[in-house]
Amino acid sequence: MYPSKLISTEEKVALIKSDICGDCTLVSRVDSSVELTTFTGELNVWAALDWNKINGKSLNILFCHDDNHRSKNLTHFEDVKYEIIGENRKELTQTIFKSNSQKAKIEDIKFKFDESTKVVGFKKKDLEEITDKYEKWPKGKQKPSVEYIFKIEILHDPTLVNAFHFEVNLLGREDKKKPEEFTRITKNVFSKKKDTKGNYIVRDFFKPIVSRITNQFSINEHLFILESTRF
Amino acid sequence: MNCTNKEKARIEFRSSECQVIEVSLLQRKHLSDLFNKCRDLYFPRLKTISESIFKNAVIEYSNSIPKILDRLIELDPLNVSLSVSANASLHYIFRFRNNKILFLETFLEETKSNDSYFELYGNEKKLLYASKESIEDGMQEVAPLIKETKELEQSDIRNYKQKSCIPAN
Repeated sequence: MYPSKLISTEEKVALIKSDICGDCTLVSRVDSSVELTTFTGELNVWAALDWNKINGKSLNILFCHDDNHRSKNLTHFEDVKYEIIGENRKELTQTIFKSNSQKAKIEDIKFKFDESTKVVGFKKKDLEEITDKYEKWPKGKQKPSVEYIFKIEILHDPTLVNAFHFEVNLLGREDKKKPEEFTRITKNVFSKKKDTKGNYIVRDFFKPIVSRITNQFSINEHLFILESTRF
Repeated sequence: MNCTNKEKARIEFRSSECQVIEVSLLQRKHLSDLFNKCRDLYFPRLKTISESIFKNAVIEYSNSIPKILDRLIELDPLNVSLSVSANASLHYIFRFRNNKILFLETFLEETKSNDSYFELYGNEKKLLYASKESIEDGMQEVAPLIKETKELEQSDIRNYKQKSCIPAN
């Protein structure tokens, strides 16, 4: 039987929203075939999470285990090991929960639970607090010609079958623009300038920015592996 | 055979020179073996993206590893690591004395040439260098910064280098 604690209700969603803090952990499942540490001892941050899909990346919350969190006993890191299957999978996992009229019936939920799936996590604030500037320095110039500020947004995004679901967005704006003009950074950011063929020049900011984020994660040792202590 | 002091000195000098070369060769072999082990362990994962990305990775590795090793030997790293990511890139981490860490990521492309991105961090995790460069140029740029004992401020490096600190298009 699918755990009822994961099914969204208005009350549960409201409780989660009020309980979340920066020290709470966000967890993600990793295929069991992925080596989480290299044999020279480095935590394999790059292989653990598919950073290229950082926009819309799905994560689950694991509340801090203290008395300030009423939901502390509601979450377990192995919650991410439940994978929805069946014909209604898309509807159950992609519909945003808004009201109790959408509440999923437990008997309609088909799932699998893979014990061998690995789980990694990090503190919410460790990803949220990464904000930095991407700059292009042309040769011989004292000032960068392009400045692009980026930041991370983590939103509570409850689905019908996962009240604890969160989503990541990578946002950016040109330095000259107003602070409110942040938009999602996609793989290709198009410049206003055109090349000789009349095509807009693609500024490939995305990969170096993602690289900056993963390097920050690695250097600050933000990512950790969650393992069951059960025997 | 009787040797003059000058001849003795020359022989001793040559002998120590040989030892240095031998150590370098050993270190190069050791590092090369480590990287090859990483390649054998992790590169097959790229086949889940595509066979052509896997082949691209093998070629990229064969071309770039001699250039990396050429510079790395003189920098005497404490630890090295190579892995691959789900988004088709090769990741190297090089840890040095004086708390310097170099990240090198090569983005594997299907339709255009591969790009490499360097980031060097120093004490207190300060970003010292970041740039999209060829492997050869990037390693050449970071080598003196890794050797440097007194860390330069980022702005000093930018002014001194007069070149991109963060990737160009």
